[in-house]
Amino acid sequence: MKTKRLLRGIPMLGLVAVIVTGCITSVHPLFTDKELIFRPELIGTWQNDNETMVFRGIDSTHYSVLYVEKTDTTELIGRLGKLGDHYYLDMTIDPHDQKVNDLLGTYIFPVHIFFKVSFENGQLNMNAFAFSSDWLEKLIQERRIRIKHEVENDQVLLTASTEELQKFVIKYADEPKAFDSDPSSYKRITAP
Amino acid sequence: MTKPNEASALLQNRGVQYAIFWLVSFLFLVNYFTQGYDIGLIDIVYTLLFHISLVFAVSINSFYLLPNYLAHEKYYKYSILLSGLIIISMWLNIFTFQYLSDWIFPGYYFVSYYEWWELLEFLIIYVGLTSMLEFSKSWFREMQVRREMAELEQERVQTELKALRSQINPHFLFNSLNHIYALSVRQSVQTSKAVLQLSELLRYAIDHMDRDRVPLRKELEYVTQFIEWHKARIDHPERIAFTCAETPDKLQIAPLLLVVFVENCFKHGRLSRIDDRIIISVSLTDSTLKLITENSTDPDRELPNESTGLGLENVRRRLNLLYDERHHLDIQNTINRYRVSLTIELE
Repeated sequence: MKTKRLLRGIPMLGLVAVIVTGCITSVHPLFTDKELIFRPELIGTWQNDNETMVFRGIDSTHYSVLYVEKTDTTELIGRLGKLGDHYYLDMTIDPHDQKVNDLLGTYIFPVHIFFKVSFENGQLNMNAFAFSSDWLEKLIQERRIRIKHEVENDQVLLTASTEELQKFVIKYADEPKAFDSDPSSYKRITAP
Repeated sequence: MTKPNEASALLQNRGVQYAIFWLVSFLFLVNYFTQGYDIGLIDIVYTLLFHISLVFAVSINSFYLLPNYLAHEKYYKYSILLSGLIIISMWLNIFTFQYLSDWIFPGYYFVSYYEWWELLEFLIIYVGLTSMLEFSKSWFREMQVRREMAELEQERVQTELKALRSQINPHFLFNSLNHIYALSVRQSVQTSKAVLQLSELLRYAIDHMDRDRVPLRKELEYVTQFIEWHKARIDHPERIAFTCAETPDKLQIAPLLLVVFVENCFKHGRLSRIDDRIIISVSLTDSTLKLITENSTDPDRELPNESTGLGLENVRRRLNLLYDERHHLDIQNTINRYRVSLTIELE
């Protein structure tokens, strides 16, 4: 069952890899409803040299995120939450995205990617620290970390539950190696 | 090579028992915790760290709470302290993976994934299991103590019986020698016969006094000889009526038991008057023996002193030890009659 699910997720791995290469993907989201928060200042268009992200509010806890890189666009669902002292962004594919559905149909299993985010200058700048896949994959390969996962085609897919993910993220939130040292920095260019 | 009894003694050592228990626990949990197809070093390290809180809880419970509180029936205090111990152990497990593991094994990344109720389940299972092991060991220890006490009691009874039996002979000998002395003073021709009869009686007593049981037939032959010996020394042997039933060979009886009551008849019975009688009757119904002795008594005669009453007290004690629930002794002491009725269920 687990293998079948993993195989279903493989096409998705390629899709989410478009967003941030080297991100760790997870079967389960990082948040339950309890940790979700909604910050209206996140709504707007965020941009850096290569990417553009357009956040729109769906409801009190979910954002619709249009991710644009050059000519490729992907519709995502974003959720912001707070664990410990840090904010995190959980992104997953929008299951209602027509393009994705046309392309992959029922073979899609929406996986999640996480970023530790921080805001600067009165919320005008956002830094997104992706979990370091190099760090995690190396630890998993050397069997020096205990977290439920599967490895397929050298790609790590976390299968730990939301509660387990949270415990892991909280404990290693300040571990420098756990996050990419060079964050993706976005500047909000339009407010809602 | 370890011998079986040495191995058994080794297994009874509490330290060895717990070492085996924790070894089994480690092997079980390392398989349970292993993430992957084979057991890696990280699984061994994780299992060892997980055991810190388990060993803590089990040790405190087994070596302190159980013997000091539950064993003394302090149930309320035990419940409170055990609850506290469980909570501290749960905290210790979380602390182990949250902080301690980083200090001891800095190259490894552990997280306390288990929720509190899952840790509670682990601890209850371990504390419960080891408590049951302690209870079972206590039960076996109690059984052993009871067995040893029963053996000691049996040994004590045997020692007492031996002592009681050894008291019979001097008593009987004392009375007999008095009789032979009287014959010799009179220079009676019966003296040599009396000595011969006494020697046969003593031979039986000496040969059988150390046995637990003797054939009933032999014992009754001895009683018959004993009565004949007494009849030979009195003036009116016709005033003695003795009847004895036929006895099968298979029945056994404790030696020198019946003769005490017979001896008392002659010791305290009066035969001087024409209507004085000593009646001794032995009957048998299946395996139930009934001895009845009846003798005339002299109301003016002094009561038996301490030394002469010793034989009857001894036999009472022996009856209680040997035929506790299987005998009935009834003694009726009226103004001029003394009657004993003894019933024994024989083997």
